Amino acid sequence: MSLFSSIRNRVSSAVNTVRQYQPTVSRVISGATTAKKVFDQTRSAFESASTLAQRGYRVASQAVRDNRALSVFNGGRPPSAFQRLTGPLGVVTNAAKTIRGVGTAVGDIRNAIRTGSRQDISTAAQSTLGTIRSGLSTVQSGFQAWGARQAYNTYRAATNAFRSAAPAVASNVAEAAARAATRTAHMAASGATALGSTARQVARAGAREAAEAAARAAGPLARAVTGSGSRAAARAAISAGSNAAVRAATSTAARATASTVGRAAARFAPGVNIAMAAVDTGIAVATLADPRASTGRKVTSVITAAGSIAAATNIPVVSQIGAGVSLVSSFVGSFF
Amino acid sequence: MAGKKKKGPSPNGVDRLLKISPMAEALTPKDIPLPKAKAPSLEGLEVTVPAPDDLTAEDLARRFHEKTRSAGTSRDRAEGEALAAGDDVLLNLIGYVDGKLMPFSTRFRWWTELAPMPALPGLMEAVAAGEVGDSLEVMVTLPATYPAEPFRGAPVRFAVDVLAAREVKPLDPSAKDFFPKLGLGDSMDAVMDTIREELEEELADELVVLGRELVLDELARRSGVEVPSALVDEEVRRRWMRAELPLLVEHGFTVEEQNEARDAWLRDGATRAECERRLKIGLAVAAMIDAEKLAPTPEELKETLEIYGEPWGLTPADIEKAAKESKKSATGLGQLALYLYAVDYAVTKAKLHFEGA
Repeated sequence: MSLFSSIRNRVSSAVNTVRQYQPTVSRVISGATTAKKVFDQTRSAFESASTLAQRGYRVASQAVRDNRALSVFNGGRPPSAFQRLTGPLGVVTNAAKTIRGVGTAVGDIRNAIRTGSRQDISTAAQSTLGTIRSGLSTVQSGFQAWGARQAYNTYRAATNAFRSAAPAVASNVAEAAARAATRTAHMAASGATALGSTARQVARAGAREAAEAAARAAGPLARAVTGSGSRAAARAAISAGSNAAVRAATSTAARATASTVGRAAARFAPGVNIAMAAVDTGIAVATLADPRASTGRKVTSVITAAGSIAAATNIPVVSQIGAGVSLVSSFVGSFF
Repeated sequence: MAGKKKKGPSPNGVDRLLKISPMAEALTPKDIPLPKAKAPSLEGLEVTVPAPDDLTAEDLARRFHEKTRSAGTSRDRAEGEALAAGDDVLLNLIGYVDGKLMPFSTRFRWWTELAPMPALPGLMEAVAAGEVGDSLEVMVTLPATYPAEPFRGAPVRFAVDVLAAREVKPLDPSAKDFFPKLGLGDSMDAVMDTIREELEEELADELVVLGRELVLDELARRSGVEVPSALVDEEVRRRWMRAELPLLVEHGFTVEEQNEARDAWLRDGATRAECERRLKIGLAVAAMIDAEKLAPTPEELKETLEIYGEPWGLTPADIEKAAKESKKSATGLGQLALYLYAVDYAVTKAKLHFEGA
């Protein structure tokens, strides 16, 4: 059993013990978690977990008596209940510590955090509030024109959002990146790119001059690598154009599955889940890393992910496809 | 059942549990009837892949940053040790909005660089002020540009566990041995050219995948198949059961919380739209297999699996072993192989244009 699960079980058991003695305990236990923060921040996670059974009720009662727990978790939150943290990244933010190491694993802590949002929401603009509630409570509509393009665009927006800010690179690195952009701009403008040097590409480069000038004014890292989109399209055309046979098409798609969507498996913004392919890739990566998983599970998860990326597979249809039953039977028969 | 010794919950209790527990649902999957699709014609199949945006110098700098980090050195931080900006951290993360679980906000054992994320202002900054082993509650107001429209401007409360951390020392670009250690060129300009090539190659791969997806959209359109919303519900449910349910169960989420998470998936418009699209494509491909009388041999299906598995590190021996594990395993792989074979067949019949090439 992992340490995480072990701690969770011990805390859950502690919480259950406290529950037996206090019918209205959910509020009190929420108090206990904050009380732990206030009284006992430096204690280890394991000790916190194991001692909560003995001390939880007492600590919770104390917290309720001096009104800290209720004030923190049931509205009227005093500013002191949240530590004002000035992190090493230089930004002040609102954050509070709960029991060490088990915050996401204990239902009462999760519920305390959940109910805190009710207070937060009152500070949100009314228009925003309406949007959020409809987003959480009703089936979202407006996706009638959904297809590959929409999925691709949303995928890019989601991955770009859930990544770190532009790294602080040394000036010589930023300048080299900007020079790389300038070199390719010349290549595109002269029509001398190694791939796809078409009149259209030159025209595109010309149309970008204004954007290039604006980017130069904004700083070296904002500069577009002119022609890179066209070159990528040309590479794709060459690659796809060579797919005269099924085998060649398979190789190209297989390589693409492993090199593109797979990179972004975990990089999706919370609240956005448009990329089924990324979900399947995440499962494959986790299964490959699981020492308890059988070879069959590993291979199946990888092929499922590859199919999800390259062939838009889905769960019920593949298992009930109906077509080619005898072909699949022959395939199975070749192994047994 | 009559005559059986009662153990644990009463039959009524079991029935109730089966009704409310997503895990019980997952253990008793039901095949539901599928609509019939018309076989799509492959005549004159032609799609145009839109031109992508150009890369930017920032994309190059970001990849450079990732390369210097992965070629650098790292050290595991001890339990209780303070974190620092630039560390790699292993997190569990859950978000709540308006008192409800934020859909798709659960991340378990997620490794990320400890650096500010513009989409989640303040989250990483708060984590960076903590220690290995901390659990934090962090409030974040999402920006007006957040990609999930319903949550723009929303206050989100995150529960975050810092499970582990690694101090990372990237390669120093001013060090004498920087270029040999990085292995991407002998000058900064050469390094940037290598990175640009790599990024363009990846973008090209994305376009190839997008081209295939457009072909599949066209097949679905030509088949004219419609799917009932109950089937979309079932597809979303099965996706959720594979992707999120096992993690929620592992981390002690209650049945109510599991149901809440599942319902959030079921309500999400983009998820429903994508599942509906995939169902239509699947049905169209199935109809096409029959109409085209595709008959790949077992060897051709094995070869398909080998080609798709190879870039992920799977060997032919792995595939052989997986198929021999059980007839169920072999059947699943056979179905996937046939589907992939059929899609590849359709793509070879299509003409792909790449805008901007």
